[in-house]
Amino acid sequence: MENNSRHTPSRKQTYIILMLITYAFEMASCITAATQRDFLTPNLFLKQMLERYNKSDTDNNNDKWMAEGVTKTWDELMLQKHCCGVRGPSDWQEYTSTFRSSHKDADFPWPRNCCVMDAQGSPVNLDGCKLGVPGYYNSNGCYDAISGPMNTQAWGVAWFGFAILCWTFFVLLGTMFYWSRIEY
Amino acid sequence: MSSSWVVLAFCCLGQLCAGNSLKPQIAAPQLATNNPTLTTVALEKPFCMFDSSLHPNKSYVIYLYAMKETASAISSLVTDNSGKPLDSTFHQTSGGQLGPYKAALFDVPNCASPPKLADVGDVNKVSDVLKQYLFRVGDDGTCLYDPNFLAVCNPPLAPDTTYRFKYVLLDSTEGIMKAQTLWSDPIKTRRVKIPLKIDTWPGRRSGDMIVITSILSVLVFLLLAGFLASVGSKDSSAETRCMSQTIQQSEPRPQLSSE
Repeated sequence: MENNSRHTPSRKQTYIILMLITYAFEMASCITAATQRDFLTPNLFLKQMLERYNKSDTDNNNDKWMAEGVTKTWDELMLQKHCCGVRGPSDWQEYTSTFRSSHKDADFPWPRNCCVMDAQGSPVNLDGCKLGVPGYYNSNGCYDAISGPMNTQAWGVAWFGFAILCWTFFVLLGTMFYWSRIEY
Repeated sequence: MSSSWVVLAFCCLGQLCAGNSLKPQIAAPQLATNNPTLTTVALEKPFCMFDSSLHPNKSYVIYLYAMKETASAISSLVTDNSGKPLDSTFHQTSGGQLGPYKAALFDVPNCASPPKLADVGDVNKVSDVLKQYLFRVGDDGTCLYDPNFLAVCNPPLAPDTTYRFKYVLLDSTEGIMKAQTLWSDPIKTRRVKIPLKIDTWPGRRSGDMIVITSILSVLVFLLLAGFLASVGSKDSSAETRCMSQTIQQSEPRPQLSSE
């Protein structure tokens, strides 16, 4: 009787091949996720803020919705975290922006929310804020307030994914080692 | 910090003897950090600059003239032939391009008791201190287009342009210029960049991304090697088992056929 178990892959071999393919895809997605974190640079936020904050002449509904979202987010961020711009209030002075096209530099060197506010929500001293007198405007940038929480969460997710892959590696290695020794 | 301001005040008093070699100065950078901006310049008021020309019983007023630096080739005179200061406006001189224009008019600042700049920390005093200490050229954005505006108009300046300023002491009853400072050093307003030029490419990859990629690649390679090794050993062990089974099966056969 001829034993024709020559080159047909057994079930265990098929299983290991499929697991290897799955592992390869998991590895690709883990690397992609880690790479995406690199794209969130200060320049990206700066460009978005300058091009969308307080944009009045929007082209379509999508543009309007994005501009409103960015404006609302930045207003709340600057108010609550006591910060201004991405690197500092000088961002508003160094670059032209949609905000600058609708607000004159003489009255608004930077948005009102960059000024130190009193309990009623109006600037403590408007002239002091416009001139940049220390204590009457927020002189630090908002990038730390944005990137801090984002980095901690992204760090946790990325390293957890990596740990799972290491664990899977050892399990697969053990499976191959074990099955290569027993009869089937 | 307050002692340095006191020293500065004394220096101002000491320059009484310096005569007419004084120029308008830009406001202290520790106080006005956003200066000059795109369209405004904050200047220190002329403390103790005209004290040698003041008589006790007369009333004086100070005019501030501004002009673009390029205008000095055309005309930099602030008085006409009879000694009266010019009444030129921003609009008449095209924003200071054709000659100096009158940007402001205020009282002679008090040399004996200058404002204490340390008081800026006090919320109640800061308005007064700022008003007494400095003047912001370019502060008023609406007066140029308001037909009812009758006072001296101080419209915003042009960005990325060099300006020069001069203070003139005027006797308010006679209307004649009594003293003037030199033209200030050239002061340039800010220049802007367009946001399209901001480079959002992240550049170098971060360190942990490189670590993750290299470690995972090594693990995949090891898995593949392990898989190939296990497949290779399975094939060889399967073949030997097959051979031994066929030999065992072929042996009892001849017994059956012989019977």
